[in-house]
Amino acid sequence: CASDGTGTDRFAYVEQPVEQLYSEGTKAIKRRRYDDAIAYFAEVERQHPYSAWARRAMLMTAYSEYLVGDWEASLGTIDRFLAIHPGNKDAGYAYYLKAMNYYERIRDVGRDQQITREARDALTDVIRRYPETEYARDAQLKLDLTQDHLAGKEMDIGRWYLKQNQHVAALGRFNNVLEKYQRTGHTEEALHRSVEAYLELGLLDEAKRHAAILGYNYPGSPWYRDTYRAFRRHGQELEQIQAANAASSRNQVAELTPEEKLRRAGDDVDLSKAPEIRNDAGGPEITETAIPGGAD
Amino acid sequence: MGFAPLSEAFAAQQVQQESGLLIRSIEVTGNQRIEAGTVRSYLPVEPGMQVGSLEIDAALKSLFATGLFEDAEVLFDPRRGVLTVNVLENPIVNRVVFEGNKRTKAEKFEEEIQLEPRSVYTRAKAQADAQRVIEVYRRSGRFGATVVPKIKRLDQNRVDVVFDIDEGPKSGIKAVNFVGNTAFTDAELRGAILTAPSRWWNIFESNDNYDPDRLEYEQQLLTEFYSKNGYADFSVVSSVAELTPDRKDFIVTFTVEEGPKYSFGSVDVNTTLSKLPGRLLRARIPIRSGTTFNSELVEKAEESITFATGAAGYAFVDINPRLDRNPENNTVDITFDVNEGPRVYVEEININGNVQTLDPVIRREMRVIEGDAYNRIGIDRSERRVKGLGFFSDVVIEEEPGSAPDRTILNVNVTEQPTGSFQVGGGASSNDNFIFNVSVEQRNLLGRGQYVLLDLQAAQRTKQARLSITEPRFLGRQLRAGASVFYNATDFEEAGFVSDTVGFNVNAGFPSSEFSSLLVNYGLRYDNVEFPTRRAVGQREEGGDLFLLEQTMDGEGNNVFGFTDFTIDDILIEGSSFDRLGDIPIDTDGDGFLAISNPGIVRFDSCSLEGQQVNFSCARNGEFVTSQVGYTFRMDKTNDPIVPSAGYDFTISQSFAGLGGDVNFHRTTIRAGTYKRLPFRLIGSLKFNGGYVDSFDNDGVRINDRFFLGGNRIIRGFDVAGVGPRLFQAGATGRAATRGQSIGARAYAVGTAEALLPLPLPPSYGIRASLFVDGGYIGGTSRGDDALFNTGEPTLDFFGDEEFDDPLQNGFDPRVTAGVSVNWNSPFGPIQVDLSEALIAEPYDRPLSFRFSAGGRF
Amino acid sequence: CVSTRAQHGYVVEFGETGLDALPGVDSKESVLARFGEPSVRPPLNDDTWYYISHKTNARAFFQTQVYDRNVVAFRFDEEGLVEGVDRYTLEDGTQVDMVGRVTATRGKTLSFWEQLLGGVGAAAGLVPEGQPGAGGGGGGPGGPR
Repeated sequence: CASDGTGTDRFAYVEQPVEQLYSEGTKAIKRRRYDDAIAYFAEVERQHPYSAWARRAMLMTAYSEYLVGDWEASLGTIDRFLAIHPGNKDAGYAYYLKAMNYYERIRDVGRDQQITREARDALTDVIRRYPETEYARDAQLKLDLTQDHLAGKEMDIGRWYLKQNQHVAALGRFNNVLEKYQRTGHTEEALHRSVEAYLELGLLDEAKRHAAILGYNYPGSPWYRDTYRAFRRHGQELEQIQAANAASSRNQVAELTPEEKLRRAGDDVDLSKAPEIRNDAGGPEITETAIPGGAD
Repeated sequence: MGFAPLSEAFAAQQVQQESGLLIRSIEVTGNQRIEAGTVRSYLPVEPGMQVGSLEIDAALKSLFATGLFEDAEVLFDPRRGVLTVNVLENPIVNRVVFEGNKRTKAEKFEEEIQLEPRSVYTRAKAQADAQRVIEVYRRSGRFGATVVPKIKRLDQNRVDVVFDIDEGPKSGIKAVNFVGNTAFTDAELRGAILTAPSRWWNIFESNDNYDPDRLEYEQQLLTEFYSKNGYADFSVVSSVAELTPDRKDFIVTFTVEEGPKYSFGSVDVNTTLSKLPGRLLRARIPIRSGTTFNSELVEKAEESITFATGAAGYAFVDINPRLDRNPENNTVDITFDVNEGPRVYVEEININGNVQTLDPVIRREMRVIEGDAYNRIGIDRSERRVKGLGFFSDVVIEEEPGSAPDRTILNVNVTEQPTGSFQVGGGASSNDNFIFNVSVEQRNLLGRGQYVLLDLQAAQRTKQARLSITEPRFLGRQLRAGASVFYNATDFEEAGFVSDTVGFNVNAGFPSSEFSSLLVNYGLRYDNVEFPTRRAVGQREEGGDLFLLEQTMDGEGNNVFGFTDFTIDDILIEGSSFDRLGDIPIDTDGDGFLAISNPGIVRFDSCSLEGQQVNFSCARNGEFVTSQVGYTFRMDKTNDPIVPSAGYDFTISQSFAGLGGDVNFHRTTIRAGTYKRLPFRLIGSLKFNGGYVDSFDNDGVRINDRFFLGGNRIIRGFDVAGVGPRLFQAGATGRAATRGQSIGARAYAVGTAEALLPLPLPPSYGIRASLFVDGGYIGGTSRGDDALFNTGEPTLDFFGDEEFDDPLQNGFDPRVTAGVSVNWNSPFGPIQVDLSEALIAEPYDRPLSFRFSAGGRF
Repeated sequence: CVSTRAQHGYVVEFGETGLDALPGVDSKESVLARFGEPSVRPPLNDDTWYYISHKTNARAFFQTQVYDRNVVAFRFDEEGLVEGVDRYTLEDGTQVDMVGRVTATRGKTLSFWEQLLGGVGAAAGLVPEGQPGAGGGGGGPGGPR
């Protein structure tokens, strides 16, 4: 008979009592032989589809698939369980395991965060549906970490733009953190980076305001120490420059008319069309002269 | 488990209507796997509610909606106020089997269908899956396939699902015809579309099956093809695929209406932007009145207007071209209306799908920054640049409304593709009994966009290692920096040849303009070439000189070593060294003989023997360091990097050695080409390749640093290193017949005239054939070399033409070859075949009329 | 060598009156209507809006430089009326060295062999380790009770 790919042909049609199959499965999990566990539980479901064991076996299959890192299969099994037993007392665990299947795959902030968003939604689902259970308590912890991670992504992009002197883009990302992720660990850094950006733009009052918020909410934070040091270095400097600039009549440089701008701009330059940079001077195509003495 | 007899059920029905009694409890019967609680949760009614035919109907509907039940029945017993819900659960799928699928394996279907072991079976799902299987067959061109789902009932309400498949004939394409085309031949139009007639010999063609959606796409391709060549009114009347009488193949017929051929009439721009007169923008448009109408040029014009307005300070511009045809003189007038566009800013740029590549590696390619004004050209250019990275199989930039009416969010959706390769190989060769090699290449190292290549090769006699790394954005700038380290050692001591080379190379390159790039590089290399040889020696007394031994017979007639009167120092040139292998025996009994069994051995470089310096091999012997700096400047103004048909390109690269190290030379190579479309749809190209190398203090250029032509693209029709100066030495037996050794040319100047032939094959095959004539001067050795090689060897008849020839042939002589060159971009890599005839060549060259090369970067 | 100039942030087109407002007369709504959303709108207190535009110049392999910047700040009082308009240019700014430290984040990073041999991101076959937020996260889920 066609094996359905989970190695069950070894057990196929060996009618075993359901308790024995189930206990074999749990033993396999303890011995970390998850593929065997999956096979046993699949057999329980297949041979005794109507027993209460089948319902528990479905969950154990999902758990084993999760342990072996086969996230999609585990999610598939959980969805199948919830379709048939939505009201069951173990449904809480199923939703929780579903959230964990995403949570385990959260990638570092430099890469795609789609999985992190799915983890956040699944964790929120667990907390909303089963508020008082210990699944919800653990899910809440992990939800905070997931939000922290998403805030980390915003900061990662914001810092990159700040390094490129793109202050509008950088402040946009830091403001995202200050708005949507206020209760995460990145708020302190977001405030300090905003101070750095506003100082570079010369907006002293805005920088002072963000520094005050940072000092008030996170007095001991190392970021506040950096902000204080940045002010000590650039505070007076900016005040003096701006005072001097205000005093000297701003020489309003006459803005060029579009015609002049166009004439000066010359042609459209797209460096990406430049020819491929190849290293031709690598040296002559030397061919090993025959080994001397070799008779011809 | 029988159902309540009709009459009683009917009676029960009767009673409800009048009194609409309350439900006291709900009983669920007939459920096996699904709990009663679950069934109750699906019912819209609960105990304590009124019940009537409406509620019962709603309950039935919701039960069936779950898809869990094959049949369901809701009855109300007014006396006990009990609502009984009787269900028959859908069976569970035990196995899914496909029968009759010869051409396509089961796995292909399993990905498509929903029914899988342990899932719930419903007749609707089975029908839907059957349709999906048929769809799989349609996609691979089998339109005659029929699929019938059957079930086999098992115990405990389980079923095996069997899909009974009859695949039917594969419907290929017998012919692709065009009706109504006068301007272009059928062959030309076939080149413009994808569908190709299926031929047995064409195993690689994937577009030779009938696929309806591809026909749809091809109508668009035809329209584009025609509108690029002046047919603005072109339209595809119909594209019909008829089945051939034997129902095996399809004949595809496109009926087209070309309409007249238009050329550009007047072109002007009217704009409402203040202080930017239309004529200034008109000057930027690449369309000349009177030339053939070409829709691509219209798009290019739009792009250059957008750039011009942007440069003039207008970021929000709305451009739409108006085409007015005047049929009497077949011209099209174009007016570009340029007005103020909607003021929209880019709020956020989100990069999705980058599972491997880091966010900044993609973000730095974007031409648009968050907070910038939204502009179409910047987005298109960004998409092109991200695609240019080569890490993604698909890049799409989508727009999404932002948090405010004048804000938009850009989603850069990428699909990663594998960017690394890892080969391990083993083998045996004639002179090494085993060869083992490992090569690891990654074009996107850890998602950082860096390139790394590690190549290791170990064999009994040769070892090679190479590591090279490239960072496209060194120090965050538009600067591509690369470095490579290499080591190789060959140890053929028994053949008297041991060489070690170790070195590194660093380079940095950047686009110096839109059409040119500059790369500078520095390389340091240490070479040590030795020709080790051994001599037997002995000592007359302790700590004395080492005398050379020779085999003789002693008094009693057994073989012994006799002392000669030469010491090792006599035969070596001043200051050269030798090593002692083991200890040297002493002639204790002073009889002038030593036992044959244990002579002392010394090893030294055979080139340090007197009189050997002139030997050709010794010219590259010993230890030397090459410290070399150089640059490569490339200018490319052709219209297509792969098959240019207009414009020119030019590359010059020079390198200078002598900055430290004990090798000095300056080497220059130049490559230039100009391309032009010729009549009969040929593409002509004239190319020039030149090179010159000389040392600074003209004491000769080492062999390694010279030009070895032949066997590469510069001049075709010769064996590897088969053209250029050669040195002949008398053969071992004194006769003249030796091949001689190529010693490399110091200068070459070769021109190529080539004509690319129009092949009837569609471009998708990637086959190109061309006729070529390569001709030029190659040769010349420096004064230092002449002195080195005029060894006073006897002039012998080296070429069998009964004339006596000088052993050193190094004239700067003309060579001309002509022939056919075929390039094929095969799925296994670039393959190239040259068939050529050497019309003019020197007698000592080694022409080769057929040459085949694969995989090389040609 | 060739240099490419680019315009970033808010755009004031030629012929338009620049960004200005009458204190006490103009309000948040009128500024919003005339000039659209500000480039930067600090979330923690909404009494100052900034319209920022700058021009950059990139030449060959040199670092991209900002050669012109205009910041226009609209200050509002409690009722949302314009209190004052300040203007800053490139000369009013300075260069601040960014602090090197970064708030730590976790998440599964990509290993070289994983990237090469496929199975990107999924720790196939291994018990999933590298628990993000191991601190508060605690262990993985136990089996169903």
